[in-house]
Amino acid sequence: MLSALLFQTAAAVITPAVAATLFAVLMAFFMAMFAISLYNGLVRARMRTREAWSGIEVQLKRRASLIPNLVETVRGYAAHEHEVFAEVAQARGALAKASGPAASAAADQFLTQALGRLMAVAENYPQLQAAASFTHLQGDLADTEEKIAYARQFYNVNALDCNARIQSFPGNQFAAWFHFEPVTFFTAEPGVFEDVQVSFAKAV
Amino acid sequence: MSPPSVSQPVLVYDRIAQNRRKTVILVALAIALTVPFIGAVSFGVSEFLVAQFGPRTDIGRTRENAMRRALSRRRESGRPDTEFTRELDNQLEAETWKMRVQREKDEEAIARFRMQMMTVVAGGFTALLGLLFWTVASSSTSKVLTMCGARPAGASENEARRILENLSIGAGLPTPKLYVINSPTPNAFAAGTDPSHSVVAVTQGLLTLLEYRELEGVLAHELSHIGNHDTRLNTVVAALALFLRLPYLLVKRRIDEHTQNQYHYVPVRRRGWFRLMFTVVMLPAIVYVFVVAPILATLIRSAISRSREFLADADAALLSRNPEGLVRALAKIAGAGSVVAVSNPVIAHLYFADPQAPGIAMGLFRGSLLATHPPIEKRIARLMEFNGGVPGAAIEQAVHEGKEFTRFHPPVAIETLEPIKQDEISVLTAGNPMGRVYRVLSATSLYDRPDVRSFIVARVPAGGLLVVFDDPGRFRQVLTPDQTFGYMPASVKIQKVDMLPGEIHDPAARAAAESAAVAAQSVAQSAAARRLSPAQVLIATALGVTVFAGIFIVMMKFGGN
Repeated sequence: MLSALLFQTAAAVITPAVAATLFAVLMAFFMAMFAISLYNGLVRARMRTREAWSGIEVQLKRRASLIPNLVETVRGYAAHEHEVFAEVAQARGALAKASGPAASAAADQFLTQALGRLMAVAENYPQLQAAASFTHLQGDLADTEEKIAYARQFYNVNALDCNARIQSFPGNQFAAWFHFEPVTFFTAEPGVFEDVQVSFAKAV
Repeated sequence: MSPPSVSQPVLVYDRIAQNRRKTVILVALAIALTVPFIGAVSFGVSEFLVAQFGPRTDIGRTRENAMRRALSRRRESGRPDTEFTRELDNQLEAETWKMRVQREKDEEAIARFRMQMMTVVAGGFTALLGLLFWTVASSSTSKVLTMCGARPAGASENEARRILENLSIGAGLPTPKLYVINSPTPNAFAAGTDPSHSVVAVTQGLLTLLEYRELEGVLAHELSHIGNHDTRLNTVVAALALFLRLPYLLVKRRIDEHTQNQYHYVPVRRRGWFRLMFTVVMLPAIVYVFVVAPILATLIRSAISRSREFLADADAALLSRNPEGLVRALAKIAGAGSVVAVSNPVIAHLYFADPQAPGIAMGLFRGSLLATHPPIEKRIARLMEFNGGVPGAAIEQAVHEGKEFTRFHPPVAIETLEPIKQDEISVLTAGNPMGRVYRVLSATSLYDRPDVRSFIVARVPAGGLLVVFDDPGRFRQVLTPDQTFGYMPASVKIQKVDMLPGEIHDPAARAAAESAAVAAQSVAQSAAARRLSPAQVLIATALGVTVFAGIFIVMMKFGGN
């Protein structure tokens, strides 16, 4: 029968030596594929982290573009609060000039504080509070802050994945060889864990 | 001051890993069920084919044994031992030997035929499985949405859209489109096999009932379904389940037809000893194919659906970092009831909470084994593990709020709507009664009747949008944007447009779609409605090759005899 003939030819061709070399070749092939997939996984994780970081910057730019409108609306009702406007303008300038992640993080923190003071000042003007444009902008600002928070969360998720790949075995052998550095997580500023003082007394 | 230390182990990652493992085990089990299924069916079919068409042997084993016994009795009967009798014995033995050789050759031929038939049938059945995957997977999202009567979200749903956008930034997915279902019962679902073409639909009742954080939890749950590719998984599992249930469903259809046409069901009469042995030997295979496999397939499908619900809950807690919102939403929905009147049983697994009313006929089987969603208490219990607990009073209050909601927004009465009587095979054979939106590539006219000589009711310019209902024939049934119904010649080339049929009546949406780049698409793509994708071509080729190989082998055997 045909199958018997097939078996006979197979037994003649595939001697133990041939079988051993075939096995060794296949093993080497699979190990190479595994190593390649590990390396590609590391590369992909690093790319995603970088993309997530630029995602945060996109949201920060979005907030920065909201600020002129906000400042103009407040200025329409509270024109003589010069210090606050100057502070905001200064913060925006610092953010535009900042280069590098550390400098831009510091500038962003400065801008957040300036914005906080601007909104505190705006609390004193009931006409401003009633203006629809102001409430709309306030809603937009709150929404942008949430987007920034989610973007940072996404960055942290990707940073976790990247670091886990770099530090687990056998990926850490590659990481050292191909210079994959661990990425830092996005942490809060030191002032965040202190209690916030809330007071409803009107500033005189 | 340092960040607060974690007092509990992070359970959510463990839960996520556990649920993923469970899914893998269940899917592997479903595939493991398929292998003996294909084996049993191909064995049965090949036995039948051997009995009908296969080579036969004239001399059975029993007859040969009887002859040999007669021969040995002749020898021991104490006859005179002459040369004549010895010659006769030798001749008889030679005859018996020839008969035995012939029988062995025949039996070998039969065995070879059986092997070939089994291979052919098994290959054909595997190709059929592939065909089922393709058919079930190509049911589009717009069809699902039309089945539920959903409309795109408008300006009043801005808040929900913002929440969805923020969550997709957190998940790193493209923002799905939001649709609103006009039902007072709070529920939601997500659909779409590809995250970039997904939709999330919520009911009007959900938007009214839930607050910001709770809505965030629900939308995070739906987004997690999309991100985990749950629709794709459910499609695969549905195809597997349909494949395993196919013989049972076909036999059930035949029995139903018979019982409707006659007073009593007359089964096919089986005559003869061979048929009896055939049935007895095949009994385990028959029981497996017609009874065990369908039941197990349904159970596995429900188990996978429930496991993915738990996974989506855990992923939602991880995404929104706020399991309390989801817990309160679940409690409110438990109080309000989640039965959506317009839901179709075929897509029940896509919803946020179980949308099917417990039917009377299904009362026996309505235990937790067949439900597509886990009970809400269990979901709340699992979510409470992550956060350190929501106070019981808050949950009680949320349930109370849900019940109050039902008092002021009563659901549509279920009894007035007839249940949708569909078994799963109709998923494959039903056309699309809602129609699909196509763009016409050359100017054409619509006729009053399927006849070129009849009255022209409308003219359609090139690039115009139409809703096309399936109609095999030389004319297509179409509906224009201004609600004119007509017949269009089937020779006009059309191109599929990803819109809902309801949207073409809205001038803004229609203008946007019509001005979309038509120039970018070449004429070769105009037959996209008819062209097959490479996967489809491959599967069809495999099926065709198997069928032809089977016919060829059968003909060879037939001719060789």
